[in-house]
Amino acid sequence: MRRREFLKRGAALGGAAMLGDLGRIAHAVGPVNDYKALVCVFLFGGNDGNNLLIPRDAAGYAEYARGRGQRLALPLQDLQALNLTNTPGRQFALHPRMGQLAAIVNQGKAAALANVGPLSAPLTRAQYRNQSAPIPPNLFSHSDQQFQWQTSITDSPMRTGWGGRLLDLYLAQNQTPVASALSLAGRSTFLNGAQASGFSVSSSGNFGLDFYESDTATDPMSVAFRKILTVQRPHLFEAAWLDTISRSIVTQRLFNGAINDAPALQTQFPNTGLGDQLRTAARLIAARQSLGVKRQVFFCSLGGFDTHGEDQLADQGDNLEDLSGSLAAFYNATVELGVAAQVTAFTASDFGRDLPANGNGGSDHGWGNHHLIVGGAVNGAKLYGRFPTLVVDGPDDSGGGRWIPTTAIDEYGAAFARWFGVSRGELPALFSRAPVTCGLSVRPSRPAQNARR
Amino acid sequence: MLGESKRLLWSMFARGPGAACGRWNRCLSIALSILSASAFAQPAPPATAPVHRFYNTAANTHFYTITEAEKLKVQQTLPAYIYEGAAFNAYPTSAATAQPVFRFYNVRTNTHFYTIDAAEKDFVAATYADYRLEGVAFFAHPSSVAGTLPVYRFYNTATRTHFYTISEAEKNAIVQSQPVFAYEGPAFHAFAAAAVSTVPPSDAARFLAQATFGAKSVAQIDALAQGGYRAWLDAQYATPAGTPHIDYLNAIRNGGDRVDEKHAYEAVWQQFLFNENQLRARVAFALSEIMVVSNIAPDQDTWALASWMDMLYRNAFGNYRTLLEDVTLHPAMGYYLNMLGNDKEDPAAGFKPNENYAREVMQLFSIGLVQLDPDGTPQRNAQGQTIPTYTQADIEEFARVYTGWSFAGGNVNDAHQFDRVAENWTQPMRAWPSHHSMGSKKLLNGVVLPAGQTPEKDLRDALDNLFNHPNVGPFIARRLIQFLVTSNPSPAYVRRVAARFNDNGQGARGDLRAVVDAILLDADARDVSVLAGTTFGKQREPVVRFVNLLRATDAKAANGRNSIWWLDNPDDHLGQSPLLAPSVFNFFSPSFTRAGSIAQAGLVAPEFQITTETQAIGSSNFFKRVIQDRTFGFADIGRLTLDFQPFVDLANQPAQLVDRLDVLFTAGGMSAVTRTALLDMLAALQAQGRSRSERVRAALLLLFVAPDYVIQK
Repeated sequence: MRRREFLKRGAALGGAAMLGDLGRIAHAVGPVNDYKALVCVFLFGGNDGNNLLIPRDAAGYAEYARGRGQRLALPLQDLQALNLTNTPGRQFALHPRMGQLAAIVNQGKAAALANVGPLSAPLTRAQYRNQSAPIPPNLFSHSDQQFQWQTSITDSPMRTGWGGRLLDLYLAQNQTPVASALSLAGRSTFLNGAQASGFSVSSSGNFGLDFYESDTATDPMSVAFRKILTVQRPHLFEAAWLDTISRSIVTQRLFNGAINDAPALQTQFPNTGLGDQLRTAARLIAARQSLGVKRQVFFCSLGGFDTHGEDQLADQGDNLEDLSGSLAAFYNATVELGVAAQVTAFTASDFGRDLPANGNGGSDHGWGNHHLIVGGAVNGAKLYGRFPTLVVDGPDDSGGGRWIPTTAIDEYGAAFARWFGVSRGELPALFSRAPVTCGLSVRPSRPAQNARR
Repeated sequence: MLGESKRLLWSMFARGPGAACGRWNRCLSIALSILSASAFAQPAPPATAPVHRFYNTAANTHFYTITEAEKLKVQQTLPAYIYEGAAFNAYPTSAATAQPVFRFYNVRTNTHFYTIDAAEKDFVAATYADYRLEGVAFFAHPSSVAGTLPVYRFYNTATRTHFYTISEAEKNAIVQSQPVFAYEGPAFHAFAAAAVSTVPPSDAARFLAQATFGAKSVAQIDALAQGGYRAWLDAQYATPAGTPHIDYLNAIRNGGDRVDEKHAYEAVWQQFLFNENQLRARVAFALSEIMVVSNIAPDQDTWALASWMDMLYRNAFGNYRTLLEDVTLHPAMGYYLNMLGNDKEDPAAGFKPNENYAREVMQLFSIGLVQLDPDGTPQRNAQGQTIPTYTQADIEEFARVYTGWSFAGGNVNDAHQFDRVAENWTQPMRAWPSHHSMGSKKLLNGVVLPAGQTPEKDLRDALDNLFNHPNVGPFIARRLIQFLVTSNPSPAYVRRVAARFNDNGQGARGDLRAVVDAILLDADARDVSVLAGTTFGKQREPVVRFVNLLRATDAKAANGRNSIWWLDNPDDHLGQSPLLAPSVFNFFSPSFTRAGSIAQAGLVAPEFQITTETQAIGSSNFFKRVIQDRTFGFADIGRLTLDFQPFVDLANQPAQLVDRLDVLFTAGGMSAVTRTALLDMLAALQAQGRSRSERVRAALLLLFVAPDYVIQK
């Protein structure tokens, strides 16, 4: 059977070997006594990064405006200028509606990473066009590229996410393992490791089952419900349903209790879906002590970035304003909670989009993309990676203005793993190979901050 | 009789036409519909038992057995045999004046031959080496006695086998329209099949869970059990599609209300809840999750959504090629995936055609990402890697095909009207040649469209190119099976359904009615031995569960409508709502697997993608509210009231109440754990003096969160 071969292959490449390595490293990482949280904000649909991070020096903007054409080029005077400290001779800006986040970049608390995406190996335009080097499969497809972004694995059937694998190393040090990998945005591959498993919490902060009081309740319905819950079912799907319900019930009390005990949050968040998600994430971070967690990974998301149509400029603008306001509020909340240097948020997305407009005035699926990293530990006001030449058929183009990434996802992930405390030598087990560093610098927190936790 | 019979038997060995009957599909369908009608004849004497009839799809022949154990074994081990119901009644053991009917097995044709004539039996045994006498099949009368009817015998000159029927109508139909069958006269005399179920009620309820939004009533289950699957399916196929969604909006408008977004959802629920064309509705719902348009933005036109649903209803039992073209040209899809107003390339201005539709129609609606075997298994190259079905270059070629289309109603020869034409959301898009990319286009499998074709010709050719890709059969078969029957169909199941997609038996490709037939009547779907297994089945979609609850409690609103709008919030609704998928990738992916034992078993569990902890709790609370309140609606106008009375009437007989719930919601498969938990709870609530209604609602709520119900097997 092919399926069996598939699984065997998976085990040989990743599964079993990986599990062993992770176990070894989990030992090697040693005890940590500080708190750190990583927050992924996934921009579903493929954010058009060409209009997220824009050159604003004369030559750079001219190249940008030429490449995008009238229908997609944003006016220079509207851009939110960034004062980056490591781009001599070049200047950049964020989208006009990202003023709040631009201010945080300029405070040195956020940075950008240029042209990152799935790669199986470093790849040049010539190699891509002759197919003389490994190329990730099913490029430009939403589902596959979301999967590759969340697993950071392009060339094996391993199905775990790198957020989950990172947590696998620290799971034993979290008193409440279920509070380790928390999704505010439904199911995600990103949070599922070999042991770590994403737990979905409501962005509203309401976790309760209305008709089941407690494990000790003696009302007839609770008794009957408990009986149904606790008897094992041989059918795998029935067992999975019960497992989901049971996990929810156990943890609802935990989260409710922890959040209620934590100090109330003063920071105002935008009244949006993403704002709700990040506010709940902040409230859970505020409850970290009663949850007894040392390392957490959160997953949030914002959809609607698949802007093929004439509404691209309006839709993306609305979305990026939401992103900017929500991330800025989240950063401010971590300052309020005194954990700004212990919480790092970053963006991810299916892919970037192609440079020229399509027949409707929108843009189509691309590849490499620009992303933002926000937090007190970020060595900010910098642009990491290598910004591409914004020219169709230029040196960075795979064809049609879709950038060949110059930084791989695992290099992006490795920066956060290093920040969490994973040593350089341990990275290959996390990412299936040794990622080259992309230079993204997230500084370890100082001992004083550790002590404060 | 003896002489004639023998002569005809000899004729069987004369050199007949070698080709198999190319029309078996048709003769099967005639045979089946008549067979089910015969189930209502007068009751057979109690000493008799039904003789079961199977259709062997591999040999194009029929098989008969009176033994329940053998029937069960055939159903469980021989997927090529489709159970057709009781053919007639006969005696299982010897009875006064009855004679044995002997059964032979023909080792060459793998078929059976039956005769009551001892002389013929001896002759065949002595003369024909291929025929092995297996013994007595059952007992019947050699000539007419009171209460019996003749069982007619035919010789199929194509397969060189025999066919038997007690139905006069079936006999006449075959004589008139099936020349390949030589009529041989009465074989013996037996009793009309008793008016007992041709299908056990629990099997019928299970079938309804797969083919509809779940059983509505015991009466509905009994009718199916007596009439059989064939008659039920044919009645469903005969339901007119109509334009019920547009009609719904028109009624709102004609009543003086302003039509808006919520009415499109009401129209969908109106059909799910109140239209008895349940198979059409269920298949259309599945199609709406394969070929997705969504108003999650929300920016779709309300009439476009209604017209879109009408289009899916219209094509649910039609041809997939027509469906594909109707989907492609529907303005709702045109708007959603940007083919509407997609202009040809303009190198000077730096524009190129929009690739959105070109990509998704291949990835999601037709062929998928990787080359498939006929059983749906991905093909792999020597390195063990899957093989892509298309490249980015192919997308760019197809994108140029889908250029030049805009709203119907304008002057397509006036280039300026292309992006100024008045919006028309219910008619298929029309093409402006001046905005169509005119160069040649390289499609899949070496097909090249020459330059200068009209937009319409380019489109037809491109859709033909996709339609004829060998992936479509297994791709669509697997997806539909996953929506209706099981998340993890066996490759053989997919292969059988895909084969019917490739050829409906009459040489036509893409016949969705044949595909639906093949899915629901397949041995894998009907085999009840899977109930004891650990992997067959699927999670009932939350929307399906809610429709099931509302139908089974006969929910109604005073104005005959409903006010069900947005159920997509997982925190306090279902996490799923028609026409509100988060993206063209639907609510869940067909390849989603759940970490843990399901993933470890190499299985997928698509619906579990939305079964997060949040949604499991939120949707359970939602069902609790609806059941507790006995009412649901987003507005008082159109608020549905659920009727629990038939259950309340049983509340003082808890065992009967639980049996009723079991039959209706778990197809008789409720586990002992759940049954005991329900009975204990009902007894405890009764002891507390809780009302009958409270007890019923507690039981229903518990069942709706119990795995017995949530997982359909």
